[in-house]
Amino acid sequence: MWVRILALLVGGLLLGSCDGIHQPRSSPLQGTDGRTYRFPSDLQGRVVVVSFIYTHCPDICRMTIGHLLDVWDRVGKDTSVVFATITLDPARDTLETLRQYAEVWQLPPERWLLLTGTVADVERVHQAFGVVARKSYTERLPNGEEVYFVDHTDAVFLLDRQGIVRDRREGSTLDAAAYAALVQRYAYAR
Amino acid sequence: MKRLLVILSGALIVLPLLAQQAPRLQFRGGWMYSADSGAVTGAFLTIVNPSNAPDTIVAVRSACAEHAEIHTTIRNSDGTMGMRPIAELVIPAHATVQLRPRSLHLMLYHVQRTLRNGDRCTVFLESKRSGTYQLELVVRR
Ligand SMILES: [Cu+2]
Repeated sequence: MWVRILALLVGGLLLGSCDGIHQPRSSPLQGTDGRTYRFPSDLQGRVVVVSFIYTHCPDICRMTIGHLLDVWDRVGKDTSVVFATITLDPARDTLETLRQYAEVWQLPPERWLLLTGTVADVERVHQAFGVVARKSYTERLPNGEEVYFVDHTDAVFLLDRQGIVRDRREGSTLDAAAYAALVQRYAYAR
Repeated sequence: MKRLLVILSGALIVLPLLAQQAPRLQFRGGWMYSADSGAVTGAFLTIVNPSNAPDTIVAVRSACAEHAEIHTTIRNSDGTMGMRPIAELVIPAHATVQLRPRSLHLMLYHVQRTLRNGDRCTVFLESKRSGTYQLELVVRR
């Protein structure tokens, strides 16, 4: 008991000493569960693992999702934890596209939201988190179709129950075990 | 002496043949990410060139996607990550080139059927020096 309290206190001190308090401004986004959220404020009260991906991304984003699935395996049972994945490419990533993506990846539908919205709203969320996503390169496929690539920030964020960003780190190289321990620490800190 | 000449000329004939049958490229551990029909996905593999001469992958095709390219992952000076197509991929002599996440991938456009964990997909790699290779990649995750 005392050990646990002490651990929480020490943990709290360590966490408190993180970079300044940052509560991202919220904007309306649509979730794959069919609901509209003011993101991230509507998820306050829970610990939120926030990631940014786009479905045309074959490499970095899939690594991130893969690592986060490993994190989910460790913390997903805790109903106070929510995963929220926001598109970096709202022009192509419709709710339907995100739903298919979630299905292919077998993302647990209960507490793993994928979110998109108008280009303006999604960009506001990117800005609130300091995430960059820009069309960088366009090419024409043999079928005449023009496709563009998105250069983007590779980051995941951890929000505590008050919606404050407590951690930001690279998503594609995420150490799932270490990250799960961090998520659990915030989930315990009621 | 006459016999030696015969042996030598024999050797001269054999050598060019051997050179033509230079050790071909070898491939290991090919896999790709799962994808929905119509989506894009990335494929990865290791290419080994055991020969004394460099070889170059000049084109890629896939039986399970409408279009395929070789892409390299880049990191911009502002820290953002992206990818760009590359026209060809040189495999230096006695070298191993890994196509792996965060480095190089085969980009498959418009996957023609849903690819799930355990499915297989054929990929063709055309090389400048040693012909076209047909590889079976396994879908992972
Ligand atoms: Cu690519």
